Amino acid sequence: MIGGADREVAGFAAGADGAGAGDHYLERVAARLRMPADAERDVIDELRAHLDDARAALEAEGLDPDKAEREAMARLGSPDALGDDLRRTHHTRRRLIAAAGGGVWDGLKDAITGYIVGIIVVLIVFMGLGTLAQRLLGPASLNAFGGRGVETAYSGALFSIAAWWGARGLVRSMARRSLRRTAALRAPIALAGALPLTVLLLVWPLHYNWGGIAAMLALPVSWAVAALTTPEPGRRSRWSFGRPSPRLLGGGAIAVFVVPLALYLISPVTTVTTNQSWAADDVLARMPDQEHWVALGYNVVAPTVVDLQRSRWTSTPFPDRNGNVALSLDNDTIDWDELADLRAEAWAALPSNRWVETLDPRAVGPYAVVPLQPWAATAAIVSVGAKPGIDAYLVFVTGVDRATGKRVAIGYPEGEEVAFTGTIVDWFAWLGP
Amino acid sequence: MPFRQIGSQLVKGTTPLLVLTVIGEGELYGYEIAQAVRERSGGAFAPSEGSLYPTLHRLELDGALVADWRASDRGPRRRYYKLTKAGRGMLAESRTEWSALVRAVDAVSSGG
Repeated sequence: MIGGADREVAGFAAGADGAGAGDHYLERVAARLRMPADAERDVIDELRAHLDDARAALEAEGLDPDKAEREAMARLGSPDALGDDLRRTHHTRRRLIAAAGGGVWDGLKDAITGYIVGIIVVLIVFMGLGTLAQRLLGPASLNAFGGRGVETAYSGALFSIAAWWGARGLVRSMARRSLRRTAALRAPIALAGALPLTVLLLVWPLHYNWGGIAAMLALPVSWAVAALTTPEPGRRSRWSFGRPSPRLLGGGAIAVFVVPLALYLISPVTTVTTNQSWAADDVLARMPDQEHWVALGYNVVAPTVVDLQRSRWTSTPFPDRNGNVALSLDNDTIDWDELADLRAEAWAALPSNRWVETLDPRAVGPYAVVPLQPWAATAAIVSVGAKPGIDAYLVFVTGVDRATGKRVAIGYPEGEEVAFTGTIVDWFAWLGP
Repeated sequence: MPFRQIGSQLVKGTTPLLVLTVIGEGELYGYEIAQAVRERSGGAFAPSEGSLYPTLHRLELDGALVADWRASDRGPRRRYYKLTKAGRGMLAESRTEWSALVRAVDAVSSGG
């Protein structure tokens, strides 16, 4: 035949494993294809059909089966060359670029799915943990589930799950679209995602502490590990644990969802409503003791009494909004019945980007005071006003302990729920440097 | 009288034209395509069967062919190829180019 029969195939013979010479030939072709399993199967099936037809025709011409098979393989030529030709045909640059575009889209969709799944998982897990903690250790244990550190951990967990799903989706999609094996794409995709993510997180202007940085660095690590361990479609990976049994799934569902849900349902319910009351007003109605505070040099602005629900509280300062402070209350850890004369107090502070702010050592009292009333609403925005010469401030909720008659600092601007008897200055002395 | 066989380099360049031509007359699978070319050329053209499949796949990627699997009574399933509208255009263009090439080669080789 034209082009000549390639004698390289003459060495193929039926193996001791029972596989025919044709099978060995096709294995050599397959080894050169480097395609996903399903695409490889299609190509090999097509060639197998060709070999079968050619062998049958040659046998019909009088060749014995062994010679007919050898001749059929010889006509197809070197299996290595054939595999290389087919791989080059399919592994084009244009196809890879198109696969990258489609893969990014698929990866993005998977990342969003992962984020949603992450929210569900985190909610279920932390709802369960929180409920168990509340039942076993009391309401105060819920404090462990709040605060900015834990919120950073939540965010890190959610983004890491999203990154995991996104990386795997991208690798799988690009492999499918470009007819390449995932092994050829894992490392480049791991690097292409993890490197910019790491740089972005390190240069992003956020005031992370080391714990936060560690939590957020889980994102590129998750991306890289997911990309590097993406299994070949249709092939069992050592990283794949297969589909869990229905019994295991059922037990897991009961453990992470049903039991905590049941405990949650039988636990004392804290009803939290979410209306807001606004203290800021154009008309500055005078507090009863405004003259007293003004006489002391404080800038008292509180036209109305702010309603707050019995709860712990957190505050978020907005320095760029001229002293507006959002007070929000989100669970029940403070016994407000024991407190009288609740106030939000604004104290001058030293500018700082650390979590623990520093009180201005010259401050001997608040420069603004807003009266509060518990048990009505969960959030309020209090305008404490800006005061010339004060660049930073801290806001506290204080109340008078009915038992001792002493004023108690109930909170701290970042939300730690520590009740402290004494003045704000005493409290900072207690906190230490 | 059998045709004289043609050199492999010449055949290589004409394989897409030959493949498109025989598929244009009906849906065929790989082995049938090779046989059809061989028989219709009286054995003069027998495309290297190893180069046939890369050519078929490339034409499919270019949109000239579509393929689908069908079960077979004689063994494994077969992959049948069919010409698309784009493939017909490609075939017509290839024929025109080939005619121009033949005329030019004739003109040169006949001394002019």
